[in-house]
Amino acid sequence: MKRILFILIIFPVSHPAQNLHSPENKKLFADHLFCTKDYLRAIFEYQSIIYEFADDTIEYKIALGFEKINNFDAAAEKFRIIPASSVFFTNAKLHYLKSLIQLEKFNDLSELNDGKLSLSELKLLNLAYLLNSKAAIHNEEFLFTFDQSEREEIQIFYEWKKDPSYKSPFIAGLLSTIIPGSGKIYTGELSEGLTAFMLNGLLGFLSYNNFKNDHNLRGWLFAGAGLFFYTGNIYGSAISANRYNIRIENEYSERIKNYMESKKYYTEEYEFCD
Amino acid sequence: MIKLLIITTLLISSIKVFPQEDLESQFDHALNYYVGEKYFHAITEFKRLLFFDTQRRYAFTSNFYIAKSYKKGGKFSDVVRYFNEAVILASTSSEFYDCKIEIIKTNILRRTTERALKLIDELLADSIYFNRTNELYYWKGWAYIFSDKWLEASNEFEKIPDNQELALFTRNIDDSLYNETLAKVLSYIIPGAGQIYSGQYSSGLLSFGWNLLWGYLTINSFVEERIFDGFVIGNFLWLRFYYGNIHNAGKFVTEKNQKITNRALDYLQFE
Repeated sequence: MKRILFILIIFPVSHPAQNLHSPENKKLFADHLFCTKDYLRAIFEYQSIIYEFADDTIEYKIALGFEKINNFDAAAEKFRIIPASSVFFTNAKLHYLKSLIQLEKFNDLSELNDGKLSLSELKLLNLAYLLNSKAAIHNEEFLFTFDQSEREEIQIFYEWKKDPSYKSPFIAGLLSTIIPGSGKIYTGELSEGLTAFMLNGLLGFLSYNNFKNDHNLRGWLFAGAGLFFYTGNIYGSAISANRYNIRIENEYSERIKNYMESKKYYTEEYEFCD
Repeated sequence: MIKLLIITTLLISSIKVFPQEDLESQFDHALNYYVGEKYFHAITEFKRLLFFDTQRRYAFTSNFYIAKSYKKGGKFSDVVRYFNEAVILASTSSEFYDCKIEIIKTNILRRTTERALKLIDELLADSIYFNRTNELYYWKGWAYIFSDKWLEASNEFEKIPDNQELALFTRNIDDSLYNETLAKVLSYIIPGAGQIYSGQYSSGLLSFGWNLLWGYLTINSFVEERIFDGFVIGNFLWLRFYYGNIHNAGKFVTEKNQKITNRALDYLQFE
């Protein structure tokens, strides 16, 4: 009986009321927020307990959380400070490069190439070069970084970068000046080019024919309309060339980014949630 | 035997079940954030309560307030999600109804009005809520307002005995709107007439002038037996200006009606 009384007295002391805001409980809650994809709140919770735990997992998850919410500036900063002694260090470096690529900080990327990079890091850097530079790297060195299975596709990107097949707005305008519609055909807009050719031809003929038959009012009418469509055709051809160039640039960037996404930026995914 | 029972009880209670006072104080803590309009922190603390409340005593209230807080931040998808969670956990018809009304209001705000109307009709069909019909007609009216159906909104407000002001207001708005079909038909018959109907006098007169000019030149070409000229002027100039005139008539009416309805919504919001 005395023993039971002793336990009843001691028990509340040895088991004080659980504090929901204790560091251990905050960590549990932060893990839950992270796994339910409430990354911003998870970051706040982790940051409030980071000094209680000497835990590189928390630091890594904070960085990953910032990346998930597309705050690449903060993500880059947090990945950069993951210590070399951490198991996440290698992956953190790759995520750091990924953040710089997303931010298009190509100058910062080029400064990182100190000859001590891992193969995955080198691959990422070279893909980033494709997005930015004029491919200063020699073809064999560039391709050699990638595995045999990757080289075929990378070769296409590299050739595309070397010779992007831009169309010149000046040439497009000049062609349309000589032959209306030919500038649009040059930029690949076949039906629009043919329409411009036929319309300008028709108006020119009608103007000439009316003047020849002394119908001066209609002659000037068709001449005015013809001039309007003729100058429009020249301007439209130059614009068409610019549009073409922007389109192929965007397609190229999109394909490289999709390629990097498919490779998950050569990072390893850790399963933090069950 | 009794000793064993007591010791077993103590051991079982050492499993992490938070005392009622902790959860209650966490609830108060979260509610203080909500009342103080610190909605981000309110959501965090209610989610914390949800996470640690293993016995789900505060599940309904937490989900309800999380949804209310998301609504203040305009995160409508999350609002609907958490109110739906609260609906499942509702233990009384009043709690169920409150959540449903909030979901309806959110659907109206984010302009998924078809969904709002469907939910309202479901509640109207449920005899438990027979004493809430006026409120449901009210929100049905608002759903129609946000769908730009002012006449239907007026019809709903008319069903509410003490809310004839809104019924009259929405009917007046409906009466003041321009008819797009009428504008297009007028411009079809007389180029420019549709624009003049919607108050765009200069555009209407200009449209009339251009159509008159190209029409004259086309007919003149045919009269002078310049048939091909007539077809070219008629097709490339006259027809383009004619169809442009009809298109403009419709466009101006749409713009005018947009201004009227925006002013009406501003008035309803701020008055």
